[in-house]
Amino acid sequence: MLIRGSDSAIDLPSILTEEEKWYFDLQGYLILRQVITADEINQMLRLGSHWLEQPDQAPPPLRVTVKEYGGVINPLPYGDRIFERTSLNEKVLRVVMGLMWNRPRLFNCALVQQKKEPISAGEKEKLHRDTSGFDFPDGFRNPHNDYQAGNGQIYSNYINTAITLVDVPKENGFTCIPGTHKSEINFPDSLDIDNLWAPAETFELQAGDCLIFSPRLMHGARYWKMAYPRMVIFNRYQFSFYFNENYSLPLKDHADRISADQFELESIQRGKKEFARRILDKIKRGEKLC
Amino acid sequence: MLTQEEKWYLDLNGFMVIRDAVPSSEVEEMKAQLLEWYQWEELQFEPPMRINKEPGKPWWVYNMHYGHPAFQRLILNPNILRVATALTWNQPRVFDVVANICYPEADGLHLHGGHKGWFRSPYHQYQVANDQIFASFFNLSVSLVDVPEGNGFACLPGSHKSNFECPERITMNDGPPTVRNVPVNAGDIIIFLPNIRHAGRRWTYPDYPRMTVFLRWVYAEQFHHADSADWLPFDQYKDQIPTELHQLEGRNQGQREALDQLISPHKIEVPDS
Repeated sequence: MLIRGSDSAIDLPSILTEEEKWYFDLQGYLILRQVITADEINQMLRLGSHWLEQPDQAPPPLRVTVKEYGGVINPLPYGDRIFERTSLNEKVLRVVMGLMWNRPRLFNCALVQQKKEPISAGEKEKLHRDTSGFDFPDGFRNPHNDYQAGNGQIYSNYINTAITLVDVPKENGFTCIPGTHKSEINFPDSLDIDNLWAPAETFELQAGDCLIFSPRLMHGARYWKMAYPRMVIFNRYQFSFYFNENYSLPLKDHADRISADQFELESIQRGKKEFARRILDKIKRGEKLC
Repeated sequence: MLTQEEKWYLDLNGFMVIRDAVPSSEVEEMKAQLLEWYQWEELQFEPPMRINKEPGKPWWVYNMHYGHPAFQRLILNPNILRVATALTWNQPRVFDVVANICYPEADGLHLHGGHKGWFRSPYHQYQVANDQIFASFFNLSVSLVDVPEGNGFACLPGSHKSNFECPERITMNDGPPTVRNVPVNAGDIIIFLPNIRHAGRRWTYPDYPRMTVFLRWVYAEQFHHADSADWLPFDQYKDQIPTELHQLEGRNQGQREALDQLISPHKIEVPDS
């Protein structure tokens, strides 16, 4: 006889639709449209642009890295609570929770800016997988970056989300080779991306759209070709019980800068988290997620 | 053996294309013969050749290699044997040889196949380990004409590894990235796993019909696809084809010396069983 705890993930019904499960399993990504409002986007753009222009005015514990053609701000929610609308977004969390048995832990939240830059002749974009700092040999599955499906459920213990704050035309921004989250053959050294052997996709997105993707998917960013900069917020989630990749989060000394839900989201925890219970209850009652 | 690019692409997508695999003179010979047969009455075909023609459907002819040597040379084409030998770990067996002619009046072949999770049928096995692929069953189609974009083979790349059922609303005429149409030229071959969800789009090109040869392959050491008098080999007609080809049609029961010599340059290194 099998004895399971009361929070056995095996018994959890999936909160993904059958079509979402099929599509994510096939392609390794999903696109959710308009998960944040225009007003929220404007607030985020205003703050992000200001900190990138004047890093010394970014409140601690934010770290702002500015380069000639872009920049990064991290850990974003500690700068202003408006950014919790990306990490704690209920529409996004429904999918993230559905992919990791309702137990997400946020271990990174960053705003990335990418500007149009001159490209040297012969220079090409590169794709990568997120390896958690240790490249497992091909043929093995990194336990920090696992993907499994069975019994009508998906378990993906590491998920990235990317919410764009600006419109993204095709051939710009996020690019990936669909299906590579399940590739088992070594990527040939001879290949560049986007040739006949490695057909990479790009996506037309509007400000407020969210890409949810497996970090095992071979992905990267196309050169930005627009006059305005690409501004995108990446949130990285792990299965909450086992994994603690970025052990500095949550930042206890700055806990007053984030909400209790955000603190819980960033914490390691075995059981279901309170915000997760609320989202599940809302889904059960058929209420709209925000 | 397969190149690293071929292995990587086939594992990712469940299909791959080899361009210019069949010389154009051979293509023209097969095309002319098929068009001639197309005019024949059913009773003119001698066994094991046979045809199937129904209104609104493609015209099908079976076992053409017993009727014309160009089809024998096709099955023994080194570009085809290279792939067949590698995917079956040196144990290729061709068990079905068929061709069709499609005019615009004929229906397309709707999406079918695709893995849905759970266990795999041993007949449709697909395995990868140590950077090698093993397929106990795969399909190979040879186009005898140029296939314009929007026509011919379409599939859901990666669906040979799907763990969930494809929604009914997805049709063969949907666009990429979910459904990919694969235009090919005369002499190109498409290798595809039967687990991939695939279809044949309706032929819409008015200038000439689609003409395709399909070869289906299994692992010769263990599998007979199904018990059927229609499947190869046909021992009573073995004198009509080369010895290597007759051996290629049957299960490997230690009688493959001629075939082994032929596929020797294509063999891959496999662990001892």
